[in-house]
Amino acid sequence: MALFRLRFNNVRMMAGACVLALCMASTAFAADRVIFLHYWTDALSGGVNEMVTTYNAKTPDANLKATGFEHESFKVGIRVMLDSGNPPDMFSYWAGARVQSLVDAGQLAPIDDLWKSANLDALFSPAVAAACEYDKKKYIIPVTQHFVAFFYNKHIFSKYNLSPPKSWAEFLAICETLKKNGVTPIALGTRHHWPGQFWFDFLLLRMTGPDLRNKLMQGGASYTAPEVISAMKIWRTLLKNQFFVENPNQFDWSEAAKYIHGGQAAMTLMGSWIIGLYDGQMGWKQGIDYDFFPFPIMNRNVPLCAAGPIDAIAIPKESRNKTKALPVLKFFTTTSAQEAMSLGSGALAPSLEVPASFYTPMQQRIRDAIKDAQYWIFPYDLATPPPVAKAGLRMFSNFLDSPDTYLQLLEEMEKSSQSYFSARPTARKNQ
Amino acid sequence: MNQRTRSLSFKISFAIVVVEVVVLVALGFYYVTKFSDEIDQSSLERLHLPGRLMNSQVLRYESVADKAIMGQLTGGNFELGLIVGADNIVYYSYRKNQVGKNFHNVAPEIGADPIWISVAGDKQRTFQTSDGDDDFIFCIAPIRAYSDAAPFFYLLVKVNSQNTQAQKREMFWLFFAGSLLCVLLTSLALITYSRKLILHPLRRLEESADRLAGGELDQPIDTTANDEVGGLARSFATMRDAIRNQIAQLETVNQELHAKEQRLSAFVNALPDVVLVCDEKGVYKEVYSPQLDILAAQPDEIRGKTAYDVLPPDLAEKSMQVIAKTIRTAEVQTFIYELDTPSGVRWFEARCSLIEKTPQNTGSVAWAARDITNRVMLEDTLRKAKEDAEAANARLVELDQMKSGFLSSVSHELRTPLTSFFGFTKLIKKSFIKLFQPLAEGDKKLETRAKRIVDNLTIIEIEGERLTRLINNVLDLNKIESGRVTWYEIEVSPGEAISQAVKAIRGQVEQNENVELIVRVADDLPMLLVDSDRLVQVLINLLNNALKFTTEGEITIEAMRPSPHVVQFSVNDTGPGLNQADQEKIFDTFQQATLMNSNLSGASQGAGLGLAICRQIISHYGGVIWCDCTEGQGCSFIFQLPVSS
Repeated sequence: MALFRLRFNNVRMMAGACVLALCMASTAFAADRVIFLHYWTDALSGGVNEMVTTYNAKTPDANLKATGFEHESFKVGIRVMLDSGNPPDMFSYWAGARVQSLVDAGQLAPIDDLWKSANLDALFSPAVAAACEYDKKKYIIPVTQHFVAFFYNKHIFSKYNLSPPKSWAEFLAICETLKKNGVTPIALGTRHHWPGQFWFDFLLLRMTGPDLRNKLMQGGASYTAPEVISAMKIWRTLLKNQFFVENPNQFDWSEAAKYIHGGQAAMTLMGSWIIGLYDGQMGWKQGIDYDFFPFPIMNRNVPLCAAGPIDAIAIPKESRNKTKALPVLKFFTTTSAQEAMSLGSGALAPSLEVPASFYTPMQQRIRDAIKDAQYWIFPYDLATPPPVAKAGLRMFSNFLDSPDTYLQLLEEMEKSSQSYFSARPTARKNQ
Repeated sequence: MNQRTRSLSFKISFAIVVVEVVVLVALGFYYVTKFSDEIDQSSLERLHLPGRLMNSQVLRYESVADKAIMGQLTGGNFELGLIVGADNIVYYSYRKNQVGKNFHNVAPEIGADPIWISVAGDKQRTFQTSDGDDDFIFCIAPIRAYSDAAPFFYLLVKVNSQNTQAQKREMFWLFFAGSLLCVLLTSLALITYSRKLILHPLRRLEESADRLAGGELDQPIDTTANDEVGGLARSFATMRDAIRNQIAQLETVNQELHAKEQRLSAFVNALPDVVLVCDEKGVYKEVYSPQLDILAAQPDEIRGKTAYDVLPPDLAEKSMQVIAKTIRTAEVQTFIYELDTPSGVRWFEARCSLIEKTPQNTGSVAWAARDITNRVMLEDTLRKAKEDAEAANARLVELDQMKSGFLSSVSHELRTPLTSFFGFTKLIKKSFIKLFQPLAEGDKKLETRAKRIVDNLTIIEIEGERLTRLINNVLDLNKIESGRVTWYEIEVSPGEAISQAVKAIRGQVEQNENVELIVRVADDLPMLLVDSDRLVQVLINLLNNALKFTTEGEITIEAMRPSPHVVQFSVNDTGPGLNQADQEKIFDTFQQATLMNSNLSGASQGAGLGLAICRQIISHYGGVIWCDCTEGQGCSFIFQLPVSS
């Protein structure tokens, strides 16, 4: 046995030496390049490649190389890269709890110097700027600000003489009308789990407001709280009423979006990145073929919250080319870059220097909707620590498969949450 | 024949099968190996496919848990799949309970080695394992975020290689069965084809050969096939024709040989010789004899025995030496020996001739022994006769010498009284004419008697002169033949010699008005180294002969030089000439020409020694003399003498 261990250790040492040698070789090779790993691919790919090309053209010896990574793969992959010490030089990420988890793990490089020297406080709203600050340090540069709302097929609404609902009752009535006319009211594709979170977020936010939800995200509230149970009950009712497409766990979000485009379903609760899909790949026109409306008000006594992810760019602490990565970050704060990213993704530009006239009418209305909201909320998986978010997203998928088990699912979720937060007392903090 | 045919058929069939088996085994081995490699390569390709798809972001990581997708991608042998992070944490797995665990803990559950991830590094690797029942292949594919990046994930796919092995086995057996079938069918076809095209024609050819061997040389041979067998048949037919011709020739030769044999047998039987054939050891193989009583023993007793068994020891030893020398030299040896036979002691002359020999000097000889007993006896008789003849000859020589001496003595003794007789005859005649004849004048009777006396005295004088010449000639010839002549050699002018000879006979010429003497001597004739008197003697002798036989006409004496080394003399007359018989013996002793003209009979009479003496003289000086005559047209006597150097 001792001999085996000795050999095993030798093999490990040899393997380690080989890996080290390879890493050194790759380091030497990659030192001149700035690798920018991002998740804007396919329908969401607009803008970033153009900006990289522009940057490389403008900056001698920039050698910025952008690599798109599939969204779901990115989520796991970037963590492994960071954990294994082989991160890219810069990468896109979602502001919120995900960035916080990386900051907690010491895997991001602060960019306070850049923030100050570029006077970025003047460029972004306080809310956005706050989303870039973790543990009192700036770590990310915001490039897009998405808005989660209902996107609907205007032709179907027109056909059945429907108007965007403002109240929950109007929404239910529309669903009933559509259902009666053989049109599935709501499309949802949760094969990758995360699209289900918007329903949980908005049902909870619209019913109880942001406080409980923030506590829940930080481990300060229970998943078995009556408000949470009520939200799940309403969701279950919608499912029972067959307002959703069948078997949503079999589709991803873009397939669900295609139901809207194809007329099989009428609306879907999704982020504004759906604009890139509709405009870019499906040839729909904003305001003509489709439009949006914010999640209807369920309780007029709670503050109005807007929700959506803020896409940002961060520099890993282990980046091999921070010096060349920082100017790239600054470049992405420029108006032209912010506008390009907005055009490509359909999101709003976080920069305040982007004029309203830049946006399409629908985007302007989204901007107005955001302004009308009293709170900007990150979606569930960006608001709670990733392990908890991962469990929660799975819980939502399981719920969609078995809506009646919501209590059991909430209890299990509560256990998972408590398990995480009890092990990490410092994670219980307000964002 | 049939056995051989079957054997050839078997050999061809065996060769075809062996060649086909070898070729198909080689091809089978090649293709089985090739296809096995392709199957392995295809399996590996399919095994690597998920990794490539994940690297190109076509396949999601969570697909490793989807057995249907992975099975389709890897070829249906998919066992399990894992996505292991570079931090060794399992991120995706076909078993949910493995997700989040360290690969070191999960690896034993799936039959993997925990170090494989480290060993793989940034390269795609495969590992083969077995659990005793099944063989498995693990493929570890690094997943990168971008090119040149260090892998952040490793896709681990485990497939059961039994299917691959089954495919290989199936492919092998397919090849084996196909090859076997191919061997059987093609061998059957080739064997049938070869039997039809080769063996059957060969069998027909063989039957033809058998019939040919049986003497049926006229039986037909099928030569219609336009292939090698047809060529062989044609060659065979040609050979048959050649054999037929050869047989015909052999029959002819046999007949000739038979005839020769018969002749030879007749010759042998007719031969008076004893013929033996024996080997180098002297062993008699064959014995032939015209008479049995001249053999040392009966032929049956001799055959198989050696010379030592049959002959006396000395003779046997000598015979063996002759035999050995014959074999060694290959030359015919002769040997005369005496042998005691039932018919008495007989002499044999043996000729020993080589029949055959080997490089080791062994072989056989033919021993032909001729009975020469009679010859030996005859030779003895002849030898005795020769001895008698030689004794008689010696006596004859002695007598001849006595005769020569007698003749010389007689001639010499005769010449003295003859000279006296001749002198007194002349004196008497002179005295009678001077003293007594005038006394008879007037008396017719006395005158007639006186005249008759003178005539008789003249006759006595002439005959005396002739007798004197005869005696001189006899003495001359005797001296020459006895070698008692002294020959002088002095330089002599041919013209001077002719002049002396002409002067000597001028008186006789002038006595005959009807004969003219013509002398022709060429200019610048060389000197001759001879005895002048003898040369003149020869010329006078020839001129006398010419005068003797020429009654009218002319006599020509010439000297000329027909060649630089020779001087030629000739005496030509217009006399009666000589017949061919006389020309051949005219120069012999005591020979005279046949008288053609009765008027010359008296003149021509002589001893017949003149030309013999001439020839002796000319011969002594290295010359030649001959006559060139035509009967009735005169005669030419010619001699040539060599010019002195």
